[in-house]
Amino acid sequence: MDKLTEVVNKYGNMVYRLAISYLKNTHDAQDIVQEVFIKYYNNEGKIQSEEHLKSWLLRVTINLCKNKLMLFWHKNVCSIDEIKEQAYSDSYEDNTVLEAVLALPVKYRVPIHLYYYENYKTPEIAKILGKGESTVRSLLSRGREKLKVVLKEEYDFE
Amino acid sequence: MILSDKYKKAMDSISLTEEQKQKIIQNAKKKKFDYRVIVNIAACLVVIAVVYGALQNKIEPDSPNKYSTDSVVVETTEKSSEITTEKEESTQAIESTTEITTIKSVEKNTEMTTARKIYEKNAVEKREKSSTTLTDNKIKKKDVETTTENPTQVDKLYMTSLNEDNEVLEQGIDSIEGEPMLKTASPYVDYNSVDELKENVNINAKMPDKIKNYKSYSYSVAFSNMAEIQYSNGSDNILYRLEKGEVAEDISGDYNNYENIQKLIVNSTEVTIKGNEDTYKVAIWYKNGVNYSLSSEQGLKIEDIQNLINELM
Repeated sequence: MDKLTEVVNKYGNMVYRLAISYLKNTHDAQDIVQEVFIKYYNNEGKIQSEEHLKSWLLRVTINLCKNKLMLFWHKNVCSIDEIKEQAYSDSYEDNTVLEAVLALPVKYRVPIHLYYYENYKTPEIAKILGKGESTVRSLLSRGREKLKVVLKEEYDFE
Repeated sequence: MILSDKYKKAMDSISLTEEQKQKIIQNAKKKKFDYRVIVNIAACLVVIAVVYGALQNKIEPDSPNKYSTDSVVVETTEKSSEITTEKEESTQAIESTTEITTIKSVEKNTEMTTARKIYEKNAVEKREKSSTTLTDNKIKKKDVETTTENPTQVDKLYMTSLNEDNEVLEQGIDSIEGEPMLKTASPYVDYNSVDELKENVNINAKMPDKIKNYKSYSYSVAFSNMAEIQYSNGSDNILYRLEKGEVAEDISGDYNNYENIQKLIVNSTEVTIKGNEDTYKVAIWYKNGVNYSLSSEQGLKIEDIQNLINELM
């Protein structure tokens, strides 16, 4: 098994899930996964360690998602996105929490995903997102507050 | 069940199929991104060509009179063998003057941002093209007046054509100077001083005319909400940006990867500085709902950048 296949098998889902949490769209997320691994294939030699590889992949995913959201035509196809989003949501059972998280603005959604799903600590998230630690803490806190309102304190966040 | 577990469970159910993974691996190996890059470049070129064509039509309107007078000019120039050395000399002098003007404007342009450089350069080139043709025509007209004591019918026609041509060109220059289309395309609005800039941007923050030995020379507002001041000390240029924001963001526009990224506390505000080895090129901070960035072209020592930030807080 070559290195690329190994990395795609190990981190493909991680990249895909982060892209979904950023873009809320499975088709765009698949495109992002493709672009991330093309970038990885072109920069394979430059990545030093396993931990570096993981954060590098997350960083590249976030940057590509950001670029995608900034595209003119992406900004102007909200209604289509919403339809896709609905179709996507329907395919998963008991997705109240997932829907609530995906409904948050992107600036809260990504730190929450990295913190609660990827189990990164605040300083690591700050490094990946290129923001200050205090900013990340405040984004997490505000995100949690918003989730509480939506979920009506049905669940405890830990 | 706690929310994070629910979220994890829901996220775990999202995964790529084996088929999708194989496709990703195959495409990565084929480097299919080349295709997308080419498509993007082609799209950009088409847009540029369309915009350029539209501008050309606006600046140089095609009128039947212009074509007819042009043909007369060509005929007259061929017939007339009275173009003297004096005319050639004066044309050369004008050409060298336009060259000097070009060099000066290029030097001036180096102080501007890349986007604005392209914008300015295009405008200067168009203006020069028109003014060179205009002065050429004026010389031709003068030569005909001085060398032909008894103008023939052809010469009369030639002079009439020059007058008409000059009118068209002068109108052309007016429309270039007006430049309604080019001006709307630029997101920057320039001002003459810091005070004027402050009046036009709703940001309550320090915007000094001078920082240490750096003197301000350019003041602009981009996208109606980001103030931008450029300073120079003769050997280095710095760019100071301010923008209101709910959260801290990097507004420097410098997305290079730097080896050294450090956090400093200046006047109890956390400042992130980025650079290579012992020089730092970018500093960003967030204070009282305003994002700040300071970028140096040459790079600064940590003490120098700290002193500059101190002046701005």
